[in-house]
Amino acid sequence: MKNDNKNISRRTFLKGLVLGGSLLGGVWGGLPWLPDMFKQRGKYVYPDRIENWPGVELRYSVCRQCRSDCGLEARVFRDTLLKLDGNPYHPNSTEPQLDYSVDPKTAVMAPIPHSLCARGQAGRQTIYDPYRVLRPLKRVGNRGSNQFKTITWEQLVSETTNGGYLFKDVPGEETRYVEGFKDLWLNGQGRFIPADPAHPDMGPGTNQLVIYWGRAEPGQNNFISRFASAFGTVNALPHVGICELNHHVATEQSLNGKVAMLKPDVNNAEYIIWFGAGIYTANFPMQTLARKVADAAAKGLKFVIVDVSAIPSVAHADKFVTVNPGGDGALAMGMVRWIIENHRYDAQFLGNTTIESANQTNEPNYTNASYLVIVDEKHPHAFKFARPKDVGLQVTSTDEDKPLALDASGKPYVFDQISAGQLWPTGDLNVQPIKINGVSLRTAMQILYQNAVQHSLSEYAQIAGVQEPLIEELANEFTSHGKKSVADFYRGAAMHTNGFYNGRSILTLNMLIGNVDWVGGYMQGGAAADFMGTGKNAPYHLMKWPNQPKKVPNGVKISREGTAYEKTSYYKNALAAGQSPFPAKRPWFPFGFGIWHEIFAGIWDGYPYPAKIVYQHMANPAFSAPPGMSGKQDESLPWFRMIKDLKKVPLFITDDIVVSETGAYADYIIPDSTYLEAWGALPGFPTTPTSVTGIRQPVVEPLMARTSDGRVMCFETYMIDVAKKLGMPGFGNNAFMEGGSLNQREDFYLKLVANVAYDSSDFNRVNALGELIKRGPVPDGSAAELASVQRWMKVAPNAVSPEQWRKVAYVIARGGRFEDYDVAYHGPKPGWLTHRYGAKGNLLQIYNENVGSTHNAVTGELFIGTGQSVPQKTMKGRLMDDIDLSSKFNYHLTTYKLPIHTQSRTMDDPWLRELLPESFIEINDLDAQRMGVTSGDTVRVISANYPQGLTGRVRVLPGVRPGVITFTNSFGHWQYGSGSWIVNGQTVSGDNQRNGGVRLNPLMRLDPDMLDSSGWGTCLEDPVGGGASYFDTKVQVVKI
Amino acid sequence: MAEDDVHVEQNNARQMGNQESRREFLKQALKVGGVVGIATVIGGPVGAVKALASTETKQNATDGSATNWEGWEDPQLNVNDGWNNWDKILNPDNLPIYHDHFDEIKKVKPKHHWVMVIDLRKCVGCQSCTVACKSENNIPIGYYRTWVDVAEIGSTLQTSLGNTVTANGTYEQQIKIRNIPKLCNHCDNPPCVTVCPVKATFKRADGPVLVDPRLCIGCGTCVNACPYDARYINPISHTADKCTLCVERIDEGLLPACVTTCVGRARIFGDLNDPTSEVSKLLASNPVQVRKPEMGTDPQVFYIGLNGEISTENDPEAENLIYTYTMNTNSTAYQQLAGKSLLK
Repeated sequence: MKNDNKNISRRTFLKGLVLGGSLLGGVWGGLPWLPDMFKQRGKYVYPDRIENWPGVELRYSVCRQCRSDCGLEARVFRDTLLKLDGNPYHPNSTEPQLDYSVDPKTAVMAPIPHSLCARGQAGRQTIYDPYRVLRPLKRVGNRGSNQFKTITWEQLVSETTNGGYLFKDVPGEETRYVEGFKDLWLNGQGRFIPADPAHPDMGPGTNQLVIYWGRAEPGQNNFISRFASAFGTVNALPHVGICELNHHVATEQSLNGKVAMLKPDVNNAEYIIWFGAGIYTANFPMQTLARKVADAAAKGLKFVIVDVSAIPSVAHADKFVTVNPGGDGALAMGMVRWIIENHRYDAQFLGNTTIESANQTNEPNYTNASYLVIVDEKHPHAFKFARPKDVGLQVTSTDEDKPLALDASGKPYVFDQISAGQLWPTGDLNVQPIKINGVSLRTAMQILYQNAVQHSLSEYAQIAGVQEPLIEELANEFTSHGKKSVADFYRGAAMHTNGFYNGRSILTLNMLIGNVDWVGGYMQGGAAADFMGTGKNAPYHLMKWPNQPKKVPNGVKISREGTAYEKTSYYKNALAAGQSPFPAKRPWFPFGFGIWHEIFAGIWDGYPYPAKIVYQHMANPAFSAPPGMSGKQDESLPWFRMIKDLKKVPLFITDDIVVSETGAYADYIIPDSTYLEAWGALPGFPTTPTSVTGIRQPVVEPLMARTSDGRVMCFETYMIDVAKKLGMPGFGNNAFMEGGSLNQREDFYLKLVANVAYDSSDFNRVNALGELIKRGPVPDGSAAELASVQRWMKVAPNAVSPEQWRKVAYVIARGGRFEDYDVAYHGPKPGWLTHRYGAKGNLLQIYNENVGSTHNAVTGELFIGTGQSVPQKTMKGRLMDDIDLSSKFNYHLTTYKLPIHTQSRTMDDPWLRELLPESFIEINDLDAQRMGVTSGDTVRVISANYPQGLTGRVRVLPGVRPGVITFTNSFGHWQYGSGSWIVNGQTVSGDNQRNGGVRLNPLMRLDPDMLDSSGWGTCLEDPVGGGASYFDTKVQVVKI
Repeated sequence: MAEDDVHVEQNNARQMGNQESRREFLKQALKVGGVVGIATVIGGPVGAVKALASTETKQNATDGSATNWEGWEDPQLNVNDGWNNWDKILNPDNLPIYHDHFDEIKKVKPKHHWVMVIDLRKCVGCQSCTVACKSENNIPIGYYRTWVDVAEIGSTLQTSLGNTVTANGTYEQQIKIRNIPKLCNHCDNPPCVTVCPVKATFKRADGPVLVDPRLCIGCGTCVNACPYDARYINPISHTADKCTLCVERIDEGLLPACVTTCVGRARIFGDLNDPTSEVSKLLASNPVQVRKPEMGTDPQVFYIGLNGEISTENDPEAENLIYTYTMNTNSTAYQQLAGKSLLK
């Protein structure tokens, strides 16, 4: 039948239908689509440009719709992005992933799943967001007035570099001189002149450039750090403090400072307990964990979800336990107590004192459980491990700094002179100290147990909010699978004021059974390529550049992270003057990093020095964090008060893809790349047992405007141009140790890819004999693979050498560098993983002497060196329960993640929005019954620091723990393509569908101990880790 | 243009639900400022310049419901390279098609018998399939060819034996999470096909139930006839629309988009005529169920992991939908929960 005939038959039928309309209307009147029939017809455009369509090109890159960095496959036609899928070479997306040697031509049609999650699938709508910022904007009204004008690239670079009366046309700012980069740089001298002459150890004036980022990832953040270091500022700071920081700090302080995350070897584990870990919705990488857990559970893995509300993985869990928010540590320490008292710990493993003795007993690593700790409070080295001199023992100089342990006869030795140390020198489960030359000492194990017995099991159960037998059941099961049990955790357990100790307690469970590095145990995952080229054989050392002075940058970060208060002039001067160094003006965080709320507090207090230029890369603190300091268009909230203060923040520059809630307050907005237009080198996560480095590359021509010399407008181009204007080293001509210039971002990033290609230490393969051997550099790319870098050879022909191009092509044609799937389980002994934490001789820390001997800089109290159950407290140690009484604030406010959103960045995607246009205040069914509310009713939620409260609609879910209310925290954008803003006098009205649902962040508790006289303050935070507390706010819920 | 005028125009645009007005507005904004790329959802995903060009060269057929059309029609993409060749899409190699007498399909011994197995032991409820389908197949906002019902079933009981211990009492939170992917069942006895008055819809011999939009008159009879809510009237073309099993992909040896991206690997696609295929093995070694077997439709989408407690059918009395998208987006319940703002 010809098309014409078909059309006729349709027309004929339609005609008949219209004629008989009145009759049929009676039958079909209730059908909602009937009216549509008489409307104009659009063309049905069928998308069949599949992977092998002529002209379609597949380009591999790396997703960033969340931080999981899954390899992606972009289907591109005529430089338009058609579709996103997973990269079949990347183990986040594909299992087993294609062997690295597979020809990319074969990969195109591979009939295997290679997935991205819903967020990743929707990424096309992020790059093609109609509200993208594509040219530089400058503020023309008061800060926060949301009024901008477009300016040229030259004006952007010139004004921000040179400073001046930049806002003289803005009422109130006529006479305000704004210092530019030039005024801090001072012809290069700014790097050597202290910001505060009274405290030169705080660093030079160039530290007053404060840079922080939200979404920069490896590659991009290395670029930012390069700019910061060359300029002379230590302030190039990530977002970790508002993310999962306490998890990382707890892990690092259990793993000798070396590793910030472990994950279960899900494929081989028999039993896993997850505390607040967002399995199936978030965590790292969300899709990889979800895939592995679902598959393993179908094959018999038993797993337990511990949380405060039900998450999708409960579908496949053997047990779902709700705990009181923050009660995770109590549950874990109850298990620790049961395990110790029932001798279910691996005593031989814990007794090993060295890696050698561990290996001799077939253990891949060892702990400090038998090391002796000085417990005399007045000893100058109290709560550190006892060194020979501390107890008056004479040893050779090489042994002077080694901790002591006791041999079987009770005689002290430096730890590596004996193979096994005593755990219980004064008798089984006895915590009495021993004395050597009058100094009281306990083993790390004794200290752990001493802390574990501070509560009975029934008290632990009560704190956690569970039945006592549950603790025994979990502990019993956990210790019934040899090395194939894991207790893992994430944000839910960590982002409390007691999060660090919760994490330490959970990590201790793993140490007690010695599961780290075992197949089916706790895993550090594969390695990453040396993309910054710090190793010997790398072609480009990108951490160094010509003419960089030594000891630049130096000093203390404005957030006081990474520095112990005890080592500062503030502390030492006070002691020298005979005064107490406590309380410090604000807390110090030697173990934490990327602590946003303390960056902002440092800016507010000018402590340890005032900020002059604040540069924000791709972040949205006004919307998302820190808790309680922002999250609603309410300029009485602390973050807004800070950013509106022209004296505290004289110049605020941000780069972004849209005018975000935060960008609305910027002095200048630099157009930047979405992740689909950006570069990066992305390591894998411990979830994957093989080595991974994905390469992110622009998959289509970036949409941003071009500079007059044709370069893409983005933050890298901006930093290059500022650096060149100032004459900073490391940019422009002679920018690399190996020669070559840095005039565009590809000059840098392609070298990074070359380093990945030439990495010869971190990637292995299994040979025909089944032996593990190191792969050298990747092979040379074929002619077809070289085609994948043609566009980069055009842009930056000299970025790498001709022979390097061939290897770069091999990597880019596959989207990165990956070990083959079969490398994972080739450890040197049966049951050992290939990539092991213990392979470098590192130990596991039952007791951490650095933590145990560090003070809370505000109270002067010492932290605790082992796991511990502690209640939620303020910075000054007051119990939150004593401050916000349960009689008034009878609900606990928490948040959770959906699998379809990531914090602030995904609400611009209609495909994700339509799935859930609105979010809710979620409450348990019995609580709802008590309050007399049902789904859809509106309630007001009130907290002590936001007494006016916020309202929202309720959804009743029995999976929410009684006494808890929760909401998901991606909703409620009042900017970011929502609301309106003004450019060149024209109002741009956004899409208010981005502003659905509830956003309760302003309710989250500010620390009542850390408010200044004006009421400005920071969120509750963990005094050890520094992470923000999201889950310790008590609220009142009122039906309205 | 005065600020107020802009607001008025914007409000009008929204009331009319007419994307064109917004595009015109953005075009103005671009002329005066050039800050926003107007790669609108109608104009196709292209940069500012391209989108601007597209608005000048053609008018999309829009009638209000097109506001949320996520489409490809664009000069940049719409080149004459065989795109939209319906004969190729619907009937490669002249496979026989059937409008009735489906039992005769077996007689022609088709080479393949494409089916999908959904292993609920692995569905993680992430909705990746849902979005992938929309991206691959150009599905307008508010409509779905496939989706995942994610529901929380159960309730909290006050009992001293429960594991949830609070200051106010001790409880047992008896809940289950149910993730059920749904799509067209590509039935071997499809009621949607037999009711079509113009024979626009048919079953291909190798399994897929398809619609030829060149023939479809948009009467909606098939939408009504489907017991699984798997068809809808496409608001752009006003023709019936449904899952095609990504027929243009499977004909080339690729997997359907939803299977390619299934995070939990719960969706398995394959050939039941091949006893070594994964779907054949799964069906041979597991009890499977289909949706509404009593309808006699003989579905070719098979579910593993259903049991007495978990059904594929929604029961608003027993379940709490975690995500509102689990409901029919035109349902009253959805509108009440989500508000009408998104959809109309």
